[in-house]
Amino acid sequence: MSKTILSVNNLVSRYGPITALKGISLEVNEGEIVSLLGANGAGKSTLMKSILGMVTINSGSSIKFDGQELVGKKSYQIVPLGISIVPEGRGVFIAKSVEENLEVGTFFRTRTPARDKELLEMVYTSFPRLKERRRQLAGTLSGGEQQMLAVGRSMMADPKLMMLDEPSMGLAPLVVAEVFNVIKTVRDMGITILLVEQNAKQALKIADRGYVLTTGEITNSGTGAELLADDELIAAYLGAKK
Amino acid sequence: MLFQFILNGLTNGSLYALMAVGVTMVYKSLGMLNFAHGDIMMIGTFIALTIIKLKVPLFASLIVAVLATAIIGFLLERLILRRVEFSSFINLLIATVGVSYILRNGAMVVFGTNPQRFPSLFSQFPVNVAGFKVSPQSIGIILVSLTLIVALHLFFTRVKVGKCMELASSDAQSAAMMGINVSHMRFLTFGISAGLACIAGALIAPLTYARPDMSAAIGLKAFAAAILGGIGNLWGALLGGIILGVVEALGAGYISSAYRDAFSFLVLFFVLFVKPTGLLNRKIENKL
Repeated sequence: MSKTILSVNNLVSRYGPITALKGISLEVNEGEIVSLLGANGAGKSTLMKSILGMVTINSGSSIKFDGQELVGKKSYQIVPLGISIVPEGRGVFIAKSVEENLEVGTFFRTRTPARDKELLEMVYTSFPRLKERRRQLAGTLSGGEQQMLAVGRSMMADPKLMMLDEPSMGLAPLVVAEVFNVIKTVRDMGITILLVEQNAKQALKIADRGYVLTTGEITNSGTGAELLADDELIAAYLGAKK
Repeated sequence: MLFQFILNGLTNGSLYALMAVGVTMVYKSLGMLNFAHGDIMMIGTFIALTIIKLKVPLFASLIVAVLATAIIGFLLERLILRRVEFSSFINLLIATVGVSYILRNGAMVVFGTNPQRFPSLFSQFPVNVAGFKVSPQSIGIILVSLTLIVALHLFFTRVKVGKCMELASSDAQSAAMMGINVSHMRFLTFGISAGLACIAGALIAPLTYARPDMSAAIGLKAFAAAILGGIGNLWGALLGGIILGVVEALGAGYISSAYRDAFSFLVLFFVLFVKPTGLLNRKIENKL
């Protein structure tokens, strides 16, 4: 078994008085795609924000990434360690060009300029449309293109772990299929992936393993195939048709 | 005559623009109107004057004063504004009004209420250029202001820290997720805006003398210029400042100098009536 790159232990996160995560534990191994499933408000995005140090975390919680404790660190200390995110709703900078958006990814990881070029080549090869539109403002791109841009920007950070927060949200079914293909491509580049999705079936199909999150607690876990085979679970927790 | 009026207008206008730039960057980054901006300018002016009186060469005094004012800006952000930031927009606004009063009245106690002469970097004696009387001081003010605004633009578009400041102010949440230290960027923005105010003060004071209440007129114009051009927009601040300056000068010259301020605010009302976002602000649409 390959080594564990991210391990979350007894994580309790709060927004003011509201406890959004009630002591969850999970692991992500190097090279895996791990899907995190759950309905709206289950705490999926909170988990991502916790990993990035953007919400209040109770003491006693632990998030270990590549041997380092993340609890107590801020996002600007965590991103340089090699975690990058594709935020919910994409979070591209709409008033900046595609190129400028991609450049943001390079800001906080130290590597050679040669690697920068290589990464940019890689992004443009994976998303030819971004290359065509590299001078266009991100706000003028379609939803699918913006999603590609957000993934590309994240790739530019040369991350060890890429977290994607609902990448299929608001996209047409054909585009969704494209996005999931992209995620597989990214994994094939050797980047570990933590994927948060409501689109359970698609997410489990590409996942090595999955966790089900229900109102702040992990209620089920297993390999992608196992969870996918559990019709009852799919119906009850994920709201998808059999 | 027309040439004189326009030159005067451009001189004042570029000073308004320089002040407006400080207002506009803080608005964009911290989401608040900084009513203390004019008084930060005044404090910067007095710091410069104090150093000049110690027989330090003028240019060196100004550099030290700009740095000192920037540090005061940093401190104000850290010690006061940050504390109220999370309560509400109105509280933040009132906090800046409070800071403004403290600075102004503090200055009256420390430096006295008498206007004090302030040495100019540029000669005040007009020279003849192709039949026109041109004051090197006017040209100097215009050039310094324009250079600073262009430099600022380059800083925000070419330098990594500047780009990060720009991103943090346009979309704080996404910027933080990308690893930008948003709170640090705000802090820098406020400091730079204070430093710019000090330079503006050093350019204005030779014309108006250094006085604790010197911010009254220009502070308001800075807001008007920033809003006229489209608040949050660097070029808007420049354009707004120049328009106000020239309109004022022409109005005062050809109609009556008693209504000098009225002309600039009439223009402001008219522009806001026609284009409520200000001249250069357009809504950047996200197609989604």
